[in-house]
Amino acid sequence: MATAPEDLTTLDGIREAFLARFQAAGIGYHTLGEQVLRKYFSAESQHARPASAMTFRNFLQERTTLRDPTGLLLYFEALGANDDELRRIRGTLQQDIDRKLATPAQDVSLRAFRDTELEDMPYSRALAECEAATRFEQSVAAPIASLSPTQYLIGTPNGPGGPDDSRNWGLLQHVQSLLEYLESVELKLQDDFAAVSAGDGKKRKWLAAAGVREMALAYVSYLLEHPELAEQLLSYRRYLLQGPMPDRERRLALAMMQRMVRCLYHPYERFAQVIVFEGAKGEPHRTPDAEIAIEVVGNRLFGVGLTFLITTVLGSSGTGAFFVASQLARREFSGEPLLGPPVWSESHEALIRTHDAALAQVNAMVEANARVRYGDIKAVFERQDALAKQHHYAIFEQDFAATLVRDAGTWLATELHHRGLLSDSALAKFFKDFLISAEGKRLQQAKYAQRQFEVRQRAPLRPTRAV
Amino acid sequence: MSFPGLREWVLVGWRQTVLLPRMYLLIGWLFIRQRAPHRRAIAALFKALRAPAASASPLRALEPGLYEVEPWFLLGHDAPHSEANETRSDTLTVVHLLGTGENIYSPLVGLRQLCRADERLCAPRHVIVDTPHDAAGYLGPQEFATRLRRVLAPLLARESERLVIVGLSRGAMASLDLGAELASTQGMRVGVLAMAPPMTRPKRPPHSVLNIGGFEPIMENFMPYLALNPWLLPMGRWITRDLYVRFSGFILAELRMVSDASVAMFARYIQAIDPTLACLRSVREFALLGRVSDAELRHAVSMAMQRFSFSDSAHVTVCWGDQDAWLEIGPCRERLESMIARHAVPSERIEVHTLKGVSHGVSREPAQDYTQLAAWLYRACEHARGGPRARSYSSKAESA
Repeated sequence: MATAPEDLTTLDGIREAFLARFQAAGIGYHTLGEQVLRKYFSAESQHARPASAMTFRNFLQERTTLRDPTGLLLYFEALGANDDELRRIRGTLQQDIDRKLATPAQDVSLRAFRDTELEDMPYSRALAECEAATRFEQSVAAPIASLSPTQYLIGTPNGPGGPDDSRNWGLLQHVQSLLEYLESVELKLQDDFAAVSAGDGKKRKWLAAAGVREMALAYVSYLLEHPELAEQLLSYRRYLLQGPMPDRERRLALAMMQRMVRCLYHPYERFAQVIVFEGAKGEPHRTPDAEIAIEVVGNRLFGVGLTFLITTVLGSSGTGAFFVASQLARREFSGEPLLGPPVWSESHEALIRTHDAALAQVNAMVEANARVRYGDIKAVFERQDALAKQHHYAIFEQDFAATLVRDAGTWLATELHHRGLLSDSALAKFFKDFLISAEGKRLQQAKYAQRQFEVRQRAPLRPTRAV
Repeated sequence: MSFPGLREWVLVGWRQTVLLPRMYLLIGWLFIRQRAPHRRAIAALFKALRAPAASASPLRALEPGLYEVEPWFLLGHDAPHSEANETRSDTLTVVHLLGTGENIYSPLVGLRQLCRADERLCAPRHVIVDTPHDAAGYLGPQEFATRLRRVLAPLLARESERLVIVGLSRGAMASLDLGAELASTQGMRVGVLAMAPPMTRPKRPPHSVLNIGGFEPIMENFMPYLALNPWLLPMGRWITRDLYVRFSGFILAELRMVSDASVAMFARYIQAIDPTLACLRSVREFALLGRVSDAELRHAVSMAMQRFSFSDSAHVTVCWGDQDAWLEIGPCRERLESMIARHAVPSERIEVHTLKGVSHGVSREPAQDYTQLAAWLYRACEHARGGPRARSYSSKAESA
């Protein structure tokens, strides 16, 4: 008769399995203890000094709290555990100890999150509680961040790597850097555009369309190289649990963001001027209604970058479920004969595969050694991030950038029509010219052959301690 | 000749032909619109151009686009003088931003008058910032501002503690933008004197602006036309020089800058520069001025006031002349005051004035009373000197 498989991944499972083996052996605890000691002194085993036979009995009968499980390993060996079983037992016992040791610290940390308790505290004590609590999880995007609002805004330049390390930057440094970077891209786009005479409308249109795509790519590239920026920009509410929000810096962030966003929209304004308002006299794209339309569509257009960030970059990390789920049909029908452009690529597949591999590797590391350094696990994920980045760029190009100009044109035309700035006939003519004509299709695919920007690379990985 | 060359030659030539009626129309309009002050200014300019150029230049080139005013000039001398070396006791820099149609010599006569009204103004370094030449700078006001900041970048790299920024017209708008940025992001002590900033678009832009700006497509095509037909270059230079002198005459007359000294300064510039480039830049500037939208100006005022509201290291003085023919002063003032109220700019940080009997050429009119302006400029200098710079966010972070 087949016996049920033994579960050695829980304490109860180990107890049940070895109580059964002990009873099957038909010996007493003293005899077992003598066997273990003999084996220990004859140095046949590499295991640590054994605990007493009564301690082993207490363990099996759930009467003891383990502090050092290594003293029990010889008993398991004496009851027939092989190497693989011993490895699994060791892992389970160690995890249990880690959990027990962590519990008091966790209690302290989590105490701050119990709303009623925290809300009743004096503010100064709430600050102290949160400092302890948020050190526990170093995530900027956590509802209560590891950073105080001041650090969130002005950074921590005294951290490892110094002020040049972008991981020590606050929101202000990031926005300043992004602003300078986008301005340099915009200057190049302006030069190209201005170099073409106003009479050469065809080339100016092509440059305006390519400029929209290039600026979007530059923006997304920055977000990919500096993921902290997106986390800081889009951080959830802050309840001032770690100190007040410095007003001057917050207002400065606002002013800098406004300039940055206007810089981001410049190519789009040129696009509106030469492609959508083609031939219109004066500056129709500068009227309040047109400015609102450009802003509305600009938000949506550059939201495409954030959509990509959420579905592809963030969605393919963690469980990876969002990316897989959002690409379900595309993955499913990728092998079918399709009428439209390709929807799936080697990069899509590789992004999923490498993430799966990284997760499997980390799981194996934990299984082999429950006390593996967190830094080693993190290094595996960071290597995966570096690999994934090239796939991210390829996916953005194929899935997002390729349709950006088409979206820019159609969204803006419909918005302007909605606001009464384009007549029915002008809208119909625009759609015919832009979506159907050969020239329109050429504009939709307008793209610089070479990138017009260079993203400041993120600081290299900090060296990890040798294990 | 290669085929693309031939194609371009035909295209440019064809465009030039198509633009000819427009050119005749604009030139005709230019002549029809000439009034006695215009004619006098143009005649004076032609006369000054025939006279031999003065020997010593009052400007010294520092970097591309940046010129320092020689101290001897500020002291009222016409040539280098030993007294000037003793006067310079200050490390403060005053930056002058130009208005539309101006050149690097335009502010000099008024600046000398300011220094005469208050001798303490001779002590700081006065640096004049030239307007960008490249076409991309004239795509829009934002593009212009970005390029102006690039010209200023070498100076700002050196002057990180304190600065005074003075601007006229478009330069005044730029001075507000720049002052707000330097004070808010770097904590610099900044004194700003913004003279006649166009904060709203007039219902009907001035004829001169429309007329000169109207030449833009013609000049833009004329440059490649000359490049493709080098044998036409001498004639082209003569035409553009003549046009540029007439444009300058209009500006001198309408900004009431007609004095022998002002005209001589304009003539010095025309003698020194390639007239085709000067003319091209001038029409681009005026075309941009004609194109600028009210929405754009509104954003610029709002964003500057927003920054000044939390920048306690800045002090701003804004003024207009009550006889300004290029702007509608009432709506400009109204907009500024509404933005000050909206962003709650403290009253001690910004002053708004209207000067009596002054046109758009504030600080450029020889007949103007400079006492008040000199007091405001000195106040801006005193503010810039008056204490350590505020802490920028980066310095706060480093000491945190």
